[in-house]
Amino acid sequence: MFKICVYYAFRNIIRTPLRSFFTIFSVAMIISMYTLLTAVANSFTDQLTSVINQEGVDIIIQSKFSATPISSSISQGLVEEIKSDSFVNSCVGVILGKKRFKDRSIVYLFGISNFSQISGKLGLTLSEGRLFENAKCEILVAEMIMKNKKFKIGDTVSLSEKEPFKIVGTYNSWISFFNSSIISNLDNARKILGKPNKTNMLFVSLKDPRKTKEMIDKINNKHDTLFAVKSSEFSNTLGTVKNMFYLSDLIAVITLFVASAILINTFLMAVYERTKEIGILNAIGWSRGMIVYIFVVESLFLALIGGLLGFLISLGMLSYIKTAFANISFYLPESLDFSIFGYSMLMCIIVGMISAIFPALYATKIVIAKALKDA
Amino acid sequence: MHDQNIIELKSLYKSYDNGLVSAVQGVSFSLKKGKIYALMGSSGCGKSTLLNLIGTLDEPDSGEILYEGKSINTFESQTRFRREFLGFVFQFHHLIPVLTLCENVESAMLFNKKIDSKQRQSRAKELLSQMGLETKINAMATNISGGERQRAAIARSLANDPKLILADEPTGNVDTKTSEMILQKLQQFVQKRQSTMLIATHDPQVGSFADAIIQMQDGKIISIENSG
Repeated sequence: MFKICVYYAFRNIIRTPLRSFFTIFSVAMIISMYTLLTAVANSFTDQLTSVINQEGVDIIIQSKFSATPISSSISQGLVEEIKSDSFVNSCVGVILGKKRFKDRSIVYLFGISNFSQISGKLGLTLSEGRLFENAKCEILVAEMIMKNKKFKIGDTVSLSEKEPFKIVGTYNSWISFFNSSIISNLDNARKILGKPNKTNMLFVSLKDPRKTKEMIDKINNKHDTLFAVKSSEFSNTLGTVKNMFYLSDLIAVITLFVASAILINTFLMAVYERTKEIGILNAIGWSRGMIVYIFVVESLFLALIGGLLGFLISLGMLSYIKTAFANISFYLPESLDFSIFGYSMLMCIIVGMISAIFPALYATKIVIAKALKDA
Repeated sequence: MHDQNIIELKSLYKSYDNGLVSAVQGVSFSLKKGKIYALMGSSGCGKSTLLNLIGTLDEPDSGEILYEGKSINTFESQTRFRREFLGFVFQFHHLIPVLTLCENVESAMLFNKKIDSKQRQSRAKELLSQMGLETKINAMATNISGGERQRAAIARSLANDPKLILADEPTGNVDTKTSEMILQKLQQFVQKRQSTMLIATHDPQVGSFADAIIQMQDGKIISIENSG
């Protein structure tokens, strides 16, 4: 029984090849957009959260009302004041900014006051060469950039107008953001970015982590320009992260609606065209449920083929964007997560079922004699 | 004699367009087991409507239809009633165009629990062979002639060994030779299985195959005569 139903559904798809093609194509486009955008949104938030929610960092401080770490700015005076607090065990300042190479490609510059202290927490591993010396104009460059730009250790790159910087080592990281960055000590980064005495963020470790809340209240009450938060909660406070979550949800809902609308339209047309067939099946003893089942199988075929195709397209698009737009590649995931594939397919199943059930139920309500006569 | 009735109609009425068109007006008669009946009359006299009402493809406005003495409204499901007891032959073959002839015949047996999938296929092939379509078993319904389609449709209607066959102008769209073949096959089936057949037609040739001729005019039965 199942075999004939599948044959029937499959041949109905072939019967109107152009319409089936455009339905599959539309679903594929929607699913590929969903997959890609969700993957980017998830990747971005995951990376940001990974960077921030590091063990050993109790408090994160940035300037108040800054939507992203790059827009935050903390003066050196405030940094020194926090460092000297009796609760504080260590305080690492970072600065982050964009810089262009000579060929106009963008690179992210990450300046750290103490590389050794924070490198493990950020998943940074020195793969070749050595660490930069603070007193010299030296930098570490991500392996991916070294490969793309064909740099070698010992090369110098022009990042500031005043002096060239020497590449002394390469690193890699499991956080792809850092794989599109270069790292220097805090002072050199400030020089390159033209922000003397400024710090974007502070990663604070306390002598007694139980006093985290007390310290946060202390900072927030004392300094109107600072915003301190528990490190584990920091990512949720970022406007970018919040927006990414909203965007992700919005994309899912829009995807569901658009894909459903396309499939419902297809099946309304199919039901209208096949009124006679539905009447025949009813006349020879097919139950209403079985007729609906046929349409659902057909719809699932279209939705799942479209979904699978969409996922493959998104894989191709991801690969293309990574190559063609290297400057934003750090936003992109290394590969597509299988959970996203699972969600996409689940979405296709839901859409496929919903889209076929209602037109088919409507179709099976018709008077059989009328269906056979009118068709 | 009453228990020999397979179908009994009691004062059936059916109208369309809010009562403006009276298709069937107070029709009452019965069909006996193992007989062939020809329902004759001019176009628009209500033959097809009556067949649709007996076949539960449409509902009467009033009146009652009894199957083996039991009202068809009391059956658990009319779909099941059609599936288990009825075989339909339509004027236009009404085959499913995307299925092969074999699958078309099989489709009528899909829910017959007495037949498994292997038997289903072999029975479909056997019925198609009986209709002279052994070489067209795997042909799509769209790729054969009108006569072949009608024969395939008849094979489908006989698939579940129906006790009652309702045929609406089964020979209306075929040539004389095919028409004769179709009628012979249906007659053989009825005789072999002791089924009953009601054929709506205005073809006198069909009347000659029937045991009785029911004449219909303006939605009413005007005579029932045994033929021959």
